Amino acid sequence: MLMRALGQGSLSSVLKILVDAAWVAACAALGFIWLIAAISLVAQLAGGELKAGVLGEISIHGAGNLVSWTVVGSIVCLGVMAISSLLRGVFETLVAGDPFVPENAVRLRKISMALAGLELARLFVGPVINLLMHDGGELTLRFATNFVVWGAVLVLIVLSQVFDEGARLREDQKMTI
Amino acid sequence: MSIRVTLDRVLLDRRMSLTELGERVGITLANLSILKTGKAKAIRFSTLEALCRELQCQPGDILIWDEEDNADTGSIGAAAE
Repeated sequence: MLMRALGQGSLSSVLKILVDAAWVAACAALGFIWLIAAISLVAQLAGGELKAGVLGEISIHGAGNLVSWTVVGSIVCLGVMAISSLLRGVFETLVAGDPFVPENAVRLRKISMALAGLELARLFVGPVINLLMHDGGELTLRFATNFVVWGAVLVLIVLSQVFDEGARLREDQKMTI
Repeated sequence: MSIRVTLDRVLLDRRMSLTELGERVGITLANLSILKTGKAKAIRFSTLEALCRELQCQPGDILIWDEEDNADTGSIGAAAE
C-alpha cells in the first residue's frame, strides 16, 4: 500500500526525520573535519603528516592540502546543513497538508542555488587553494563536473516555478467565494 | 480591476443582516465579509445564484463595473493589486 504524501504519518513526515538526521550528520561531520584539521595542523607543525583511518584513509600532507581539505569539507557540510534545513521547511508544509505556499518556492530556489554553489565549490575551491598554496610537490588539478547535480539544479528551478504558480492558484482559490 | 461589490447597499435595502444572508445561502460570515469588503478575487456562479435568489435581485445589483474605481475597497481584487 502506498503511503500518503501529505499530513501526519505520511511519507513526508518520514522524510522530514531523514532530513533532520542529515542535518545532525552534517553538523557532526563539520566538527570532525575541524578536529582532523586541528590534529593535522599540529602534526605538520611538528614536521610530520596526518594519516588517519576513519571511514577510509584520510591523508593530509602540506599546508595547501590541509587548507583545501578543511575549506571544501566545511563548505560541503555547511551546504548540506543549509539544504537540509530548507528541505525541513518544505516537509513541514507537506506534513501540515498545505505545500503550495510562496515560501516553498523561495526555499526550492535557495536549495537550487545552494546545490549549484556546492558543485562550483567542489569544482574550483579545492584546486584553486591547492594551486595558490602549492609548495613545489606534485600538483593534480581535477575539474570533473557532475551533470546529475546540474540536472537536479535545473529540476529544482522548474519546481520552484511550479510552486510559485501553485501558491498563486491556491491564493486565488482561497479568495474565491 | 474595477468591479465593485454593492452587497451592503442591497442588504440595507432588504433590511437583512450579513449573518442572516450567510445562513440563508450557506456561506460563512467570514467569506461574506471578504466579498463585501472587496477582498475576494473571484465569485462562483453558484454563490452569485444563491445571493440573487435570497436577495431577489440581479447580478448587476450586487456587482457594478466602475472605471474610476481602481484601488478603493469594495472592488473585487483591489486588495491584491
